[in-house]
Amino acid sequence: MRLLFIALGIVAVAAAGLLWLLSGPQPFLADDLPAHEPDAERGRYIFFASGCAGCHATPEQDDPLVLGGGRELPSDFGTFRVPNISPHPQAGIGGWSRLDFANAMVRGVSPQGRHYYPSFPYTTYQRMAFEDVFDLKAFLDTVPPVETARVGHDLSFPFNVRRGVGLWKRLYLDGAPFVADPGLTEAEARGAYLVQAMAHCGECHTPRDWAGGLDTARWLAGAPNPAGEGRIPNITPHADGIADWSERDITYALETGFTPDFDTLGSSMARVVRNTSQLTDEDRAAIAAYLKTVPPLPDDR
Amino acid sequence: MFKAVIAAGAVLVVVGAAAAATIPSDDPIQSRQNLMKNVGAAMGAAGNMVRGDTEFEPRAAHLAMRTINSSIIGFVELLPEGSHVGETRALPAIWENMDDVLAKAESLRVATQAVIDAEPADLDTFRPLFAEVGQNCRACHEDYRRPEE
Repeated sequence: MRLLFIALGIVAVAAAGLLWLLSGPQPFLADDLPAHEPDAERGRYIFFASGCAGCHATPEQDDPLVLGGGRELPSDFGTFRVPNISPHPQAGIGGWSRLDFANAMVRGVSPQGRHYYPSFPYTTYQRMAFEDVFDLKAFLDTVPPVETARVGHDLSFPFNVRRGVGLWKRLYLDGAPFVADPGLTEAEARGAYLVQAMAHCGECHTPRDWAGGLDTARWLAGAPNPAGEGRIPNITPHADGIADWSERDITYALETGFTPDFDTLGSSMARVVRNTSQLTDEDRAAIAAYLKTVPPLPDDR
Repeated sequence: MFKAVIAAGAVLVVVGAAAAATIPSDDPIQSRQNLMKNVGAAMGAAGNMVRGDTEFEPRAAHLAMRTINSSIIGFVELLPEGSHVGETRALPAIWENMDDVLAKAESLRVATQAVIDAEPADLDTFRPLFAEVGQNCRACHEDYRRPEE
C-alpha cells in the first residue's frame, strides 16, 4: 500500500514536471536574429498594415499614434486589457531591445520571459519577415511616449494561469514563417502575406475551437463576435460570404469603409478601415485578389 | 448629354422611391430606418458617380447631398429615450453619449451643406467633398450601430 502511494507520487511529480517543461517559453537568442538596418518610414507602413492601432491606440481619441492601450477585449475566457506600446520607458515598451521586440511579436514572450496571451495576435505576426518586425520597432520608437499605466487582464481559472499559455502554444503556434502557396500570382501572394502575417483578418473572421485556437478548416468563414453582439461576417468567396463582391468592391471597401451598396462597415471593422485606408491601392487590391482565392465556405450557425 | 440626363433621372427615381418610404410614423425606429434608407440610396447614387460606375451629373449629386442633409436633420429628432428596444440596430450607447451623437450628426449636416454650397460642377471637385461626407457615416456606425446578426 505504501509503495503504491510512493509510485503514484512519483508519477504525479513526473507529470507536473513534464507539463512545466512543455509549457516553458521558447524565446530567441540574440544570435538567432539576422542583421538589419531598420527603416522607420517603412515601419510606419507596416504599423498600419498590421493594424496595431486598432487595439493599442488609446480609446476615445482619434490619433492612431497615441498608443497608451487600455481598450478592453471581452471574450469567453474573461476580459483582456490592451497594454501600452508607446515608447514610454516605464509604462510602455521604451526600454526594449530588438530581441525583446522580436520575442514578443514572433514567439509571444515578454522581455521577462513570460507568455503573452494570444489576444495579442502573435499567431499571425510569427509569419512576418524579420526585416518587417525590425522596421516596425524602429517606427514605434518614434511615436510619442504615453504615461498610461498597464492594467492587468481579468480572466477566469484556469485561463488566468499564464504558464498554461505555453501548452496552448504547443497546439497553435507553429513558429513557421510565411510561405506563399505556389499556385498564387504575385499580387495574390502579396495579399496572402498581408492577411496571414500582418492584417490578422483571420483572428476575428475565423472561428475558434474550444481552447481558443483558430479553426483553420473554416478559414475566414465568419465567427461569433467575441464581444457578444452579432457575428463577424464570412469573407470567403461563397454566397454566404462576399462572393458577389468584385475585387474592386473589396478594394474600395478597405479604402473607404463602404460596402458595394454603400452601407458602411461599422463596429470593429470601422477601426480596421482606419488602418487599411492608409495602405496603397495596390496592397488593398492584393488583399482583395487573395480573398478571392480562399476556399468558399458556407456559414456555420 | 442625353446619357447624363438619363443618369440623373435614374438617380431621382431611386431617391424619390426611398423618400416615398418615409411615411410619418409613430414608431421612431421605423422612421429612423426609413431615413437611413434614403441616406443609403443617396450615398449609392453619389458613390457610383465617384467610383466611375455612372457618369457624374451635378444635379444628381446635389440632390443626393440634399437628401442626406435633410435626413440627418430629421434623424436627431427620432431618438426618444428607450427607443433602442425593438427591431433596431441602435445601441444603448447612443443614449449614454447623446452629446457625441448630436455632434456627429451635426458634423454630417455641415459636411453635406458644404457640398450643397460648393455646387461642384465636376467630379474632381465633388470627390473630396464626398469623401468628407463619407467619413461621417463611419464615425457614427462604429460606436452606435449593432453588428448584423
